[in-house]
Amino acid sequence: MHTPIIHVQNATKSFSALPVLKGLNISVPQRSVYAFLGNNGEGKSTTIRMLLGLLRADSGSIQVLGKDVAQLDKRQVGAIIDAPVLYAHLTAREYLSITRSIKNLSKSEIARVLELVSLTKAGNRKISTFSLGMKQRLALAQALMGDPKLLILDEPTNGLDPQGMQEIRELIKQLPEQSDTSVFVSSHLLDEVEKMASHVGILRGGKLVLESSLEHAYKQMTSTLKLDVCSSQKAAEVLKVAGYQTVQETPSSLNVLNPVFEQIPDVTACLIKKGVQLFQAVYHKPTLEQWFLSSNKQGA
Amino acid sequence: MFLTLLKVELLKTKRTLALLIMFACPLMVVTLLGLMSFNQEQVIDESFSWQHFWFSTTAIWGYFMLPLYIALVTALLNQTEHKVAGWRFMHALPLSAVNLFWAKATLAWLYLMGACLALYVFTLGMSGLLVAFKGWPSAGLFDFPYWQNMLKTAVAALPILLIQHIVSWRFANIVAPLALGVIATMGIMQVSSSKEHWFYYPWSYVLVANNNQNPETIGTALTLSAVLAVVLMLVGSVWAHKRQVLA
Repeated sequence: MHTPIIHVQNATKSFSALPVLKGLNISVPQRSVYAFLGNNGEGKSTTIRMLLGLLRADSGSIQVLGKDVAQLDKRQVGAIIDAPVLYAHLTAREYLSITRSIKNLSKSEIARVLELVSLTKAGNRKISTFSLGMKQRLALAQALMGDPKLLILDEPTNGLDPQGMQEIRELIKQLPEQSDTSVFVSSHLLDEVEKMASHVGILRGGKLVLESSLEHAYKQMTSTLKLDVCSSQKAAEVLKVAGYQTVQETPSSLNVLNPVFEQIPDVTACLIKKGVQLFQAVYHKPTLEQWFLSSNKQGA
Repeated sequence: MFLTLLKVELLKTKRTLALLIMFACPLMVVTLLGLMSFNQEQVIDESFSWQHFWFSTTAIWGYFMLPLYIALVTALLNQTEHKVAGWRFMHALPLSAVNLFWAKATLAWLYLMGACLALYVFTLGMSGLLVAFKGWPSAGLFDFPYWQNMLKTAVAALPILLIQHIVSWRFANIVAPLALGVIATMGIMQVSSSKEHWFYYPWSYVLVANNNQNPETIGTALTLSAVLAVVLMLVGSVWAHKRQVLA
């Protein structure tokens, strides 16, 4: 069993007696892409700042890379916190040279990360002339300098066009395998998260209300097969005998709960065999976004 | 790491107004004095001395432009972070907050020394013009102990530099450090001429150290500056270390 790359236990944080985090527990497995989800004002940014040692927890323990956050070796961490911080009067290369100098990296590192985010040609341009997407990519390049063991990203695809989003998403997805980097990413773009994350954690009311691998989360999501038939009552009886759980919606439509995609031919065959006329079958698997929204409603 | 941070901070001032104000502020003082000298009739006899010209230059610099320049340059260095929430970027990197605090303070001090040097060069330039066009004698032009003066400034300006630096670091709104600089500068003339009260007013130390005639008072001003600077250094370091990064 590997030590989690981030391990937060019962962390609390208040600002002027206003509690933001109320006993937060997070466990981020090594070599994972962990999506940290939550509505605005739930404490995502506070959590990220605490993981980087910018804020101190009032109580609880925070371990990053196996050490207490106070002893964290920040050479092994790359981060984008909130909107990218860029000194607009500098060129991209000058900006990256700040991190290069402080992390004591070789000069070739600047060229490497610029190429990684497709900004090689813009290296000598002033950042003030960059588009939002270019700035986002530059911030990511900065975070990637020195092949960090942990990458902490806050909304990394904000402002990117669809192609840029895809490029960055692919880049992030590959990091655990290619360079043994674990990624902790907070985002509101749930469909983006769905495409790149391996694990997910949902923050609500200052606590993590859910944490699991995405694979496990999908298993928890209720898929449905909506059937339009001649008689929903008759269809329900047939399917009950066949071992399926159903919910009747109208006299002519019903939902089969939690069918596996591969069971669709069996469901339809059962109905036809018993003389139930089937007009339409629509399989619906909820997205992460729908799951997140429904969990929000449950928590409200 | 400190030297690396100093270089990083220097890089951040690239294409900013830092270099421009380093030359513009002393140039304003020298231009003002030059215009006054060109417009007045100077009696050139055996009693003529450059001391008065140099003395006026360093006095105007000390009680007017230097404290304002310090307020400007410390505000500029810290605004680089406040403007783009650079604190969180810097603190997420492997560096000590105390080193960052010192790197910025040291850079501000180096810019101050640069401005003092520029003041010397501009004053010499203006003196050359007075020699050429007003017939002032060139003899004794270099008699004024400017380097000694600059050394005293380097120490006596430290308390106000550190106060301005701490205020600029603490407040994101640039009005706070600039208001402090302007208001404090306005009191220098009155307080520094008071034998009882200059002691309590760090903004008067530069003027007292450079333009007071009493060696004992000068010594007190320098000692006081050094002691206060050490106290502020310690306070600033502890504060920078403990401070959490909210912005």
